[in-house]
Amino acid sequence: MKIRDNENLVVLGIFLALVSLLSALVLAVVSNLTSQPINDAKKAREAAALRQILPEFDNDINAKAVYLKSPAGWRIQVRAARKGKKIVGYAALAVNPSGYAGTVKMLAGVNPDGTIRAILVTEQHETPGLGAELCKRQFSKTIFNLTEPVPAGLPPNKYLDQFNGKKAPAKGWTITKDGGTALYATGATVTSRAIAKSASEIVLAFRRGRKTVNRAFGGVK
Amino acid sequence: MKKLLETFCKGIWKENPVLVLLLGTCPTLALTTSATNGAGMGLATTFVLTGSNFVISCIAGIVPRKIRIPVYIVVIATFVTVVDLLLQAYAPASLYAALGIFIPLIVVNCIVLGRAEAFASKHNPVLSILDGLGMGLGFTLTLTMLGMIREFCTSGAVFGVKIITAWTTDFLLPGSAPGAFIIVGVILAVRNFLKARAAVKAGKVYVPPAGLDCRHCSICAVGKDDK
Repeated sequence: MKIRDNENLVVLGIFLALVSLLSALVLAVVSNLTSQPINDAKKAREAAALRQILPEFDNDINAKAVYLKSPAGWRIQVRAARKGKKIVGYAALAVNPSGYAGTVKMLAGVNPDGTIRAILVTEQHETPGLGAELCKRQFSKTIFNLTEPVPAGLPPNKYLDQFNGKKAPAKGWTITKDGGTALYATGATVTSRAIAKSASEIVLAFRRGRKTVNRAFGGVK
Repeated sequence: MKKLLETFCKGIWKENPVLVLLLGTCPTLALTTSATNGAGMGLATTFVLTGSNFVISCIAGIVPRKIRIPVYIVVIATFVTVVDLLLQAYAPASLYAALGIFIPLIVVNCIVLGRAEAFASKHNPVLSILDGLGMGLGFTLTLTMLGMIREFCTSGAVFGVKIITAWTTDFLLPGSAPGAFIIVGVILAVRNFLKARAAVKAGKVYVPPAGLDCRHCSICAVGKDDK
């Protein structure tokens, strides 16, 4: 009898197991081959993001990290960027669990005085065209400037840039719809709230955790 | 030679997977928010489709008929995971950021399983590869076109380049899935209208392409004993 017409359950089970085994083998090989490049790509992405939000630095920023507790109880990862011996800024990573669709990861460059220098949203699953637009940094291309070179530096985004260099209120920023001062976009209220909240938590965590940061990195003032 | 060419070309227009077979509507609606996304998803699907078509046409002769669907799914899932890993490792960061979460969706894209069952399992590997390439190309072109229409209607841009610079506030309907549904519906209506009119003009009754009506399709007739 040909195997095509076989209806014996045991034979079918063995066949399926063999196919799965073969597929697992292929996947193991590919996964093994790509794990190194995937790690490199991740690191390159992370390094590019850090260069965008911090002033020029020359230390190994990943050498040491401390964790600050924010008012809302999040753990905020802080790393120090130095130029020579001097601390030129900190990279703070906050994970906000309450985006519109899951978590919003925010990476912020923080000045030595504890104010925000620049913000990047490194991971989000917000609504495309609405919430996602608030998290995006992209130079706008038009048919008129198509041939011009892309400008250097961080593309502007008014929702992310509004906190730069500002002193936060005692309870953090809230959006204007909730009676605060932060900008928000109609149709993306939840995302706007998440961004304002993340920025606030970072600044407030620095305010409360100044001593921890100074102790860990031998900081300034 | 003519048959090879025909197998390749039919996926582009005559049996276009989106506009005629109406397969893979989920990625079609979810992923064509911009022309770039549509093209990227189309190319990734083309790769998986061609690969899975080839492997399945090679093994179709020895796969017991009773478990062919699970076996095909395992083959397809393997290909998709390989594509996912390769994209993570070597694709530009922006492309992976846009497509990453949708790649696993290719596993359940009906085009891939549909072609495996309806074509690859009954034809030789060469024809199956051509079928995969043609169907993939048709899928890619349709998705890119749809992405261009939707992107333009949303923000006046195509491939991320603003054509109408004064268009500053996005129009949200065409960018959302319901909007995509409406646009696909309009395209389908126009296509069917043209087909029917051409048939009437030629003095014939419009019939769907051979083998594409319900009588010939075995995809949803798994319980039935087909030959």
